[in-house]
Amino acid sequence: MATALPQRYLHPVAQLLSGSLVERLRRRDRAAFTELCHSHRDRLYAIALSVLRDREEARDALQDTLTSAWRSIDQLQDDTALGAWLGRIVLNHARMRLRSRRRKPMELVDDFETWFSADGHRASDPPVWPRADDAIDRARFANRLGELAAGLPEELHVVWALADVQHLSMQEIVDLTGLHLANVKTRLHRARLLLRERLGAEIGRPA
Amino acid sequence: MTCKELTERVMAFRDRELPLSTRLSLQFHAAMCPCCRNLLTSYDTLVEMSAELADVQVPDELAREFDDMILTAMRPPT
Ligand SMILES: [Zn+2]
Repeated sequence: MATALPQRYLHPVAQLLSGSLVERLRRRDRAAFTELCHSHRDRLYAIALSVLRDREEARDALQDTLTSAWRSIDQLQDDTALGAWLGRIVLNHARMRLRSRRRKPMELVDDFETWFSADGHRASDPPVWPRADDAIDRARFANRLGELAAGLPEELHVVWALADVQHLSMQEIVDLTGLHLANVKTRLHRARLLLRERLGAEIGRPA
Repeated sequence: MTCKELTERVMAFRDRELPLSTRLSLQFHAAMCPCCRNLLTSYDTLVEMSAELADVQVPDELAREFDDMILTAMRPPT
């Protein structure tokens, strides 16, 4: 990490040799950049894929990310957390691709309020899900879940994908999205409720 | 607690973030309300199912072309 002496006290050659990864990157050291890309490859691809759910698009988002990272490398600060920096770039590219994709006609709408009557009770009984230990075709349901999730509003979809598919911690999601923790939680909960309602309507039986 | 209030608190309940008194009234409501019991179990099922969507491995093809992708990234903009 940080060198013991401030950089200005070191001989230029020593500076070159002692440079941290961030310092090497700021000098546009190609080997350092290659090293950086390799060490973050799997995580960046996983983030892109969880948001886009399409391998080709995730690959393209990853390429965009590497290109943006190389071009904005001058902006790195000594204390830049490289993982979070790259994570934000890949998430931005994935979101741009998600937005430009044609939306499904059956977009899930946040109709939470309509599920309840004025006294706060369920207006109509939601379908009963098969129990988790029933012999259900989990792979098929999971697949359908992925399709339904693509119809979520983008701001809910991204948080859901990072939290529930990618299993990132709440703090990682806060760092990646720049949202407040409370906001991340609210979005995740809304996304889950919508998906549960919608998938339940397909796989559940009437109450 | 109403069904709506319970629905709003499912995540906090699962994450053990509710104060004891709220937790108890939630559990009391769920014991009385099949609808909300159904919500609690299906919410868990949904979260488990979502994790199954994760693709753990980078495809071989991507791994093979990754060095080329890095070179492409470092090419000056045309
Ligand atoms: Zn209820």
